[in-house]
Amino acid sequence: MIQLTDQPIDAAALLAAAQQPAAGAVVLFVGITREFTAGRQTTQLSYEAYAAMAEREMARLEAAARERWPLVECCLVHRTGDVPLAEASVAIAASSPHRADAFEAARWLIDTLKQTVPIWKREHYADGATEWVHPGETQQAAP
Amino acid sequence: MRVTVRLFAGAKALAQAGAVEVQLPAGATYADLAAALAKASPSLQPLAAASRFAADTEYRQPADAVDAAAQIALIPPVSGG
Repeated sequence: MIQLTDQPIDAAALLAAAQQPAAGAVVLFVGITREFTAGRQTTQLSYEAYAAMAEREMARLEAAARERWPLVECCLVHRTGDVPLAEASVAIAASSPHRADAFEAARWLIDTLKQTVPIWKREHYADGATEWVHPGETQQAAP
Repeated sequence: MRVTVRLFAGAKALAQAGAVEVQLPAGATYADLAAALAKASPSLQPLAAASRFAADTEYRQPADAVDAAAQIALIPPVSGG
């Protein structure tokens, strides 16, 4: 199951969805808005998605994970819009008959999502500055 | 052929536009499109090297031919999660 939503993520509902009799283990990963990054204070993050492509990439990740590990349930949810401190921007629930597969799948899903799914975060800092986060961006030449 | 490239996130902010139009010769590749885009929108330079293109929601390689009928987007480095 994959979902893009502008509403708060209900991680308990994902956990419940993954908690199936065929499984013996459920791994739930929740990524939340962190207040301090490298000493700089964040007041909130906001996320923009290329929605149609993000959904397609997330569905591709679910299919690839199901092919690689014997997953009973595999849920990926990403939030868009403003995400206040400590709230979830992303949640992944993976369940499998034995725990190693659920741990590996959840780790692979979040790592790969962060590399391929077209979603971008914007930092809103306590000093009022905002900044799009683009890993690998080159520094702009001084005017 | 005339191609419209959708922009997102920092690319949209740098270009101050949600899309940029560029003119390409027939048979142009995404590498050619990157060069044309850099010319049409020099402000995108900080993101140019690390960005990819997508056509109809699928990533494309620099050597692939541009399909003018597809919805083309510039995908700057992603930062979801």
